[in-house]
Amino acid sequence: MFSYPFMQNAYLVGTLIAIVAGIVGVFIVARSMSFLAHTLSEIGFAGASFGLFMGWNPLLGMLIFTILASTTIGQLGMNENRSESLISSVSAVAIGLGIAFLALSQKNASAATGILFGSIFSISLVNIYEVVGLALLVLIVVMVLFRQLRHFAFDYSTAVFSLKNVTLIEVAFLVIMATTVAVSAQVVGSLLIFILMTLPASAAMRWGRTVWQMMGLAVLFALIGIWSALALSYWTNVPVSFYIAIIEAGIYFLSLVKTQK
Amino acid sequence: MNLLTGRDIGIKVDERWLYREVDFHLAQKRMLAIVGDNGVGKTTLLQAILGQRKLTEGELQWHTENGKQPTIRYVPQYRPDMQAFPLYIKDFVALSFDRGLRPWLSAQEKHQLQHILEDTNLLALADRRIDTASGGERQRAYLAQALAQNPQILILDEATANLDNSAKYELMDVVKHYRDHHDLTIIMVSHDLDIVSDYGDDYLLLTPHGNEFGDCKDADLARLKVRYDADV
Repeated sequence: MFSYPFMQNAYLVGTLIAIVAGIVGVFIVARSMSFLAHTLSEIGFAGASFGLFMGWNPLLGMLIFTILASTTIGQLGMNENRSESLISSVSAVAIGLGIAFLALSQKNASAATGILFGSIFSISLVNIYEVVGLALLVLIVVMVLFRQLRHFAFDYSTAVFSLKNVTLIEVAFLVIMATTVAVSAQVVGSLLIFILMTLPASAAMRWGRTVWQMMGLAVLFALIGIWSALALSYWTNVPVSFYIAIIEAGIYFLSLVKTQK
Repeated sequence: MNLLTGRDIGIKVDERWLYREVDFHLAQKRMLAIVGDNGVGKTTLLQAILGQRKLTEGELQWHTENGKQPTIRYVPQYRPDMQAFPLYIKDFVALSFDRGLRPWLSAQEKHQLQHILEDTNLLALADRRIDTASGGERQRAYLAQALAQNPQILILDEATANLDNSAKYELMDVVKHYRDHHDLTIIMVSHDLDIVSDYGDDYLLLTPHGNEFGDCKDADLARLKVRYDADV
């Protein structure tokens, strides 16, 4: 299985994405923003379709849309009680736009499937460089801002008084989140992105007793999901995202049952 | 020595004056109790002191070297997030170390953390989960988290509400002990006049009909209670 370059690439990219999604996911879940992460994936779908329509790389379209959306509606949503309705309506517009751009771009159905459900086995070399670059960038920024992000995500009610530049941290966090959505979409596609970003982190946060433990476990759970899903998909020819969804949801439900108070 | 003086303070919200002509001062190492009914504007005054809200009239003057606000830490009334994560109490307190680039704690920060846990009677509970701690333990963890940053002023917003008698006195004893051994000035908002009379040094009573500032020792708290209850 590992003799094929496409499998080597899939494992390399999958591993990096598991690390980034696991770590960033812990902050997203701690800050109770799983719902926004889900909406960003739909906005990512609109962005990728727009990219195709314009003849760009879909990842570029995705990055532009998710970053723009996260720093505008994300900021609005965080400060407003009506965030759920706001985010839902944006979600609806995003899916509508995505469908429109796809139809206008006149690409075949496989382009749409790739965006929606991921295309890790057919990832190009250029795409690998992009994913590796963006993933490393996200990891570096998270490590540099680790202390601020930790307080911001785990105890927002005092972080607003303690952090001098809380708005800046908020924007940085939203951009990190948007970039992670765009990067992770390469594996599971935009529709199933919340699987990688929220399920391993949610499971890890039931077991971990320190922020580092939570991040470590989230990465481990994401890696178990991606590595086994890639192998299973290779042997059975069923899409990777299906296996990732089943495995991550399984880990989450098991954690839920095992850690009941 | 005075740290803060408030003169002729008035705050108007939605065309309604919450209060006007409030005068008070905050002296170093004293505990100022702000009392008054819900909705009278105690939290808005705290926000103004924290620099997050503008006064409609009057002024707050800091008597620090540069005239700027000193380091203030606020223990908020509501903590909606805390039941969700099984963080160790020591890790929850360490969330306060939010400056600098180093992702892990320095030796000095570990020492500071140990010191704070000891002072807040949390050393034996350091490896206990915050989400399963009792109300009193959790409130002490919130306090420890605020104190970890070595503030000059600590603001406690209804810190003893929802605590049973022994837990609230334990918490206030910890606060008082810490204040006695460190350079700390305290502002507390409380409905509990027993706590105010036992621990407060000065009081500021806010009501829609008038305000009163004075020394808790000289205050006739029974009369204060009558006045306060009449507004309630």
